Amino acid sequence: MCERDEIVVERYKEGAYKKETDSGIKLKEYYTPTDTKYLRYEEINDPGQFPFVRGIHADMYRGKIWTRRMLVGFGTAKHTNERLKYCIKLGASGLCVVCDTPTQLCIDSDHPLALNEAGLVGVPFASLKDMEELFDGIAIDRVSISFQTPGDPGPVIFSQFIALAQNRNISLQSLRGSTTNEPALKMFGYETMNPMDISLKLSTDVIEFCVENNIKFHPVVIGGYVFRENGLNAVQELGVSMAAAALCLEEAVKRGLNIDQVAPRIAMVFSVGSDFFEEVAKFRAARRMWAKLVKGTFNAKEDHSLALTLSAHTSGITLAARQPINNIIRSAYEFLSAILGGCQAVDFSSYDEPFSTPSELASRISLNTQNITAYETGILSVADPLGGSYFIENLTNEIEHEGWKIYKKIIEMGGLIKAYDKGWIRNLIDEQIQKRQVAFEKKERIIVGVNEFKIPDEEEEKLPIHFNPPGATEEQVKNIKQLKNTRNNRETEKALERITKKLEKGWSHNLIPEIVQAVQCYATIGEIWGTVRKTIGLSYDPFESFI
Amino acid sequence: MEKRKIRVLITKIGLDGHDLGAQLIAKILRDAGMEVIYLGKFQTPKRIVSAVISESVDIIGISVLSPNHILLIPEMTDLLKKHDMSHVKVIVGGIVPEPFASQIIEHGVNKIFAHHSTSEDIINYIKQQVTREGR
Repeated sequence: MCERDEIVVERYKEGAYKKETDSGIKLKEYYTPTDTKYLRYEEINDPGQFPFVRGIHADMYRGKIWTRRMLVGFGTAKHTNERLKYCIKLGASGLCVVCDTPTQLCIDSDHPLALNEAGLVGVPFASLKDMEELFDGIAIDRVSISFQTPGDPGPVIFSQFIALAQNRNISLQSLRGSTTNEPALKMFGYETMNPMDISLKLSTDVIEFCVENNIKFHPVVIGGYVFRENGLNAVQELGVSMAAAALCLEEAVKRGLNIDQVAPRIAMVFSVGSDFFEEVAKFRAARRMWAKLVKGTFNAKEDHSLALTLSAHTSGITLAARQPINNIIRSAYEFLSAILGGCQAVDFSSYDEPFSTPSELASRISLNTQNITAYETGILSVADPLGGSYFIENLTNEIEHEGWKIYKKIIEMGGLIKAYDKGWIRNLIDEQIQKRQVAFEKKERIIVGVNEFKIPDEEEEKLPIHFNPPGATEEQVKNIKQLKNTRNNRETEKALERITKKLEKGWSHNLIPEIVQAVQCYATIGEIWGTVRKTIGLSYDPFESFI
Repeated sequence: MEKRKIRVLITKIGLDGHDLGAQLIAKILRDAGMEVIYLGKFQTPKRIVSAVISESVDIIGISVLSPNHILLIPEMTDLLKKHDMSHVKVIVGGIVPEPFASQIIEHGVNKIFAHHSTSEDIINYIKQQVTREGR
């Protein structure tokens, strides 16, 4: 027998099954009523009923298909605007915008460290002008808009959005969507140079502003996706997300806000990994955990507080640079988990994620994956189709149980910030990423086309990848410099002074009205954060020591 | 006399914050017996080169995700040259699409490791490169 024949024989006999899920939950050969007998139906209940395991609406996707969207952000606001319109044309039912790195770090496009970075991996939100151009020709009151921005830029981007609505005479109550605005991301790869306490304060200001003005926009989206993509497994993603939610809710309650006005406004975004059933169960478990947390710990009374709005972003870390067309299949399965798990909105890491920001083609495939699923498979006709499966209900329980263990550990340490300061979070991440790499190298974790089923380099697929429009960064830098020269600088300075004065009155005073006013005078994100930093005794430029 | 350990500088460049790869590779190289100077995020070409000089490292490892590398890495290799530090090897890991890959190789980067590279590939390469220099 030649060597090739031997491989074929080996393959005939091999088994690809796993004895446990990706996060280590033991799996049996099959499940029976014994595995769910301790579970009363009230703990699952109908879709739309507490504890919302089976979804937050009784009619689920019959009432409304999940919001189909695609992450966009590159070049200048004008470039991103064109792509947003392209996504709408392809059937996106919501918009999703990601900011560039200078915006993430709250510096302007003309900051010395931003000169090579503006508009590279997201769109700049340096001033209201960017926001205006971004949504030129788009009815912002008629489409849900999600700003995927980590913690610190959130309050400023939110204020730019409010200012744009004001200028277009749009009622703030008609705005739908979300800002990530999630300070906990600073502990998971999105560090900024601003201290946690001021970030939390401003994040809470956005919540309070939405409550006071009856804006039905999600001011905070708890960032499970980021926790997960930084290496955590599904169970840890759940536990940490609940701890991050507790941190956010505590701050809001401390501010004197009514939990039943806050909780319905908080959403979560999770990653969707490759372990299909574990991911389905994770979304189901997340809703039950949230319902218990908000009811038990925060004494929320109303149903809409207890029903968790969930969105999903298919995983980027599971995608491969080898035979990248395979990524379309990976994302489709992940997406299916999210839908069988009952998510309200989904966006994708597209198949070219291992190379660049999404190309037009990749955006189209991502949206079409959603459209094919919605319109061709019949999958959305019945709510929670996997509910009642001995396996799924058992797995949902197990995952919830393990998730609470992580949550309780964090709370025992004094909450998420203390757990981070003690290095516990860092250790958790280190442990997980190492485990993942070892499993990959030992081929315990098979990635098709990467460590098995490989093809020769010369046969590798050559994808049309997206490069930024030439000159976009330079154009953005030029525009922001021009803006600073041509706006009414006296008015801008006065508006910034009002931020200082309000902040000096005490941190419980909401800064958003003053930030909106400053934004209206075309104050930039760097100037607004610089003013805040200076007022609390920090350097105006967060990167002063780096230049 | 005990042989001096291989000294590696691991860093991110520019404002991109995705440092999972950098953290992982730092740990892998430490476990392989090398001395790792971990510079972290938000590093400029100037800061990296001054760390190279003060820490007298044998090799620089830059972990990239953002396309900012196509401008910042050549800026850094130019600075290395200017300071007579061209003998210090430069390896890059992460997302480097063509034609950027060929361009940074032309500009003095010695090797690029894609994200399917194994620990062994990287460790062996470093050992080979640094011993070949006759340390």
